[in-house]
Amino acid sequence: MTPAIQLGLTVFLKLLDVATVVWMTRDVKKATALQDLRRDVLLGKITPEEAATLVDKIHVEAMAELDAAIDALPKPTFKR
Amino acid sequence: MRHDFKPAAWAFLLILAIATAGCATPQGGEPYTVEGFLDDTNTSLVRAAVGLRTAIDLGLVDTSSRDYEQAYEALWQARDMLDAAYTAYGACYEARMIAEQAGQPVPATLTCPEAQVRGDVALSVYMQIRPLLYELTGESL
Repeated sequence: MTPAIQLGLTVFLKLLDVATVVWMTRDVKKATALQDLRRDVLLGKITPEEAATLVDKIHVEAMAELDAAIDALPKPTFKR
Repeated sequence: MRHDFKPAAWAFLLILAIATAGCATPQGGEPYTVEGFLDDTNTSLVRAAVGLRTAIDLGLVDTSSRDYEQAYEALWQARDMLDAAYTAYGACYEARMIAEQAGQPVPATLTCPEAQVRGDVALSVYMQIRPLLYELTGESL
């Protein structure tokens, strides 16, 4: 194995590791946000309705990512 | 033939093992949740759309083909269903919070049949076009 290939593989694997951590962190952040909201509701800091509004906001953000990905697709031009 | 494992090769194998172990780490036995299911479906759809776009950019997909039209429409259909599932989940979440605040007994995890059913439909639409996506892009999306 040449040093160049070795270096390339090392960099690739490191990037893979970083991507995995970023992805997992995102999930953990969301789970933590939901737990925090639940705690705030139980402590009476916010109402259930306000918590639900914030949850909807999290979902809107998730959908925005999907919308952007689908919007980036060109419209089909199939002729029947 | 004698195999001469050099330190570099051992180092490579070590890095590979660490990277693989990191990816395979169990997520602490997380329970199945509707929220997680919807997020996983969302991730799959994003991945499919991004993969399709990449294949188009590479000139692999004919956007005037019937297959592309089918995949495009299915992605939108799945997206709309997922949106409805998230909306249903929001309503369930609010109802649960009201019940919990009032001190009523609630199950350990939030169940929401309406969100589950809509999420199932979104996932099913995606699963139906997976073979088509593979044909179009040459990748398992």
